[in-house]
Amino acid sequence: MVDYASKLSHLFIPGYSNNHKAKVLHPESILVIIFLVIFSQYLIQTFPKSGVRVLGYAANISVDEIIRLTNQKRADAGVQSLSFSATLASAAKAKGEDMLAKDYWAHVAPDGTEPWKFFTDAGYKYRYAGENLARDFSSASTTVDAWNASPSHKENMLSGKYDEIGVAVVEGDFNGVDTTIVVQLFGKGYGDNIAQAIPTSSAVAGNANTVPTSMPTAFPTKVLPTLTPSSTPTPMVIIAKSGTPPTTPQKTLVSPFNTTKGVSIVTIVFLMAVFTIDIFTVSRRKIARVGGRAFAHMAFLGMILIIIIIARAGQIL
Amino acid sequence: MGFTFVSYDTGFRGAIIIASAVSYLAWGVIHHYLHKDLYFVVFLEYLIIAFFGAVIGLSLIFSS
Repeated sequence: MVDYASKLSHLFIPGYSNNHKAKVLHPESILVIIFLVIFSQYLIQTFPKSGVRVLGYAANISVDEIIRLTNQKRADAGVQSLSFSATLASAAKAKGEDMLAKDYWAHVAPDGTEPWKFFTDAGYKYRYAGENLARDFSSASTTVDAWNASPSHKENMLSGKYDEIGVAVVEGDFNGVDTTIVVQLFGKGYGDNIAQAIPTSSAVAGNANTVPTSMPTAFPTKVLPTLTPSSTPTPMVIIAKSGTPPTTPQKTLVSPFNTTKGVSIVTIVFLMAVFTIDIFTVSRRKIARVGGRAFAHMAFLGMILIIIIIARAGQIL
Repeated sequence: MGFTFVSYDTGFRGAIIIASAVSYLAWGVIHHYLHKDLYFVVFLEYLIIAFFGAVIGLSLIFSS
């Protein structure tokens, strides 16, 4: 019992046995902790690829809600609402499924497939087109807010050049992890917004618009959209129902992000606690030693802790 | 603040983490140099703490 206590004291309390510095705070001990953190990350990344399916991003994102929130943003900016296009929704679904099937997270597929190929394949003849992508978000509102926070994605969402929208929420295996991908396509087709009935409309172009052409092309020239946001709100229009309501059932999954976040918080709090004991003991015993400033270490670790706490899951492209 | 405003830009968030770690290391070196107690073990201590913070922060950013 005494031996056990002395070992704990050696680990956490400055004294003669540990050269008046808690053993946990010695450089070699912190290196071991760093190694353990990296190893835990390796396990989190490796487990899904080895077939253990407990990690993933559970989401409950509704297509209708994405469209409603997008139109709400447009209304707030004084831009006309977008009408739902079943053809664009079909193209968005094809794009999302292609990303999952080929395990890529990009506007352009590894085999060089451009985003607007999905428009043309779906039969959408476009004059202007745009594409926003998102993954690992848990709700429609956080997804739209993330796009809205990014200037290039916001340009797409608020561009007056588009009059139609199609959204798909696709869920599946992405690099071994259950992932929810949201594909948001914008377009302006030929023939004044009748895309629901006739599969002819626009095409995609990353975060930019395409130049109007007399004929739809697979390689539209990208130009920056000209935005003229107005402070005058326009009535919000909640658009058409999608034919296939994208209900994404809530799953019981362990999020890789939240797992990492938990491990990080526990590790930092642990080190900060040991530093606190160190500061208290050194101050009380008036120990003079060569070393860094424990208060400074605490402040730095506290800043990292704050960053970890405010960090949110989700990526946009 | 930067971490909040660019919360979905992985590259920028990573840059903030690395810049913070490097700045902390630089602060530690300058601080101890000015106090005339800059030794290799002190430098090593700041280096490892900065590296630890960077590893923790980056592992979270790139797990999302």
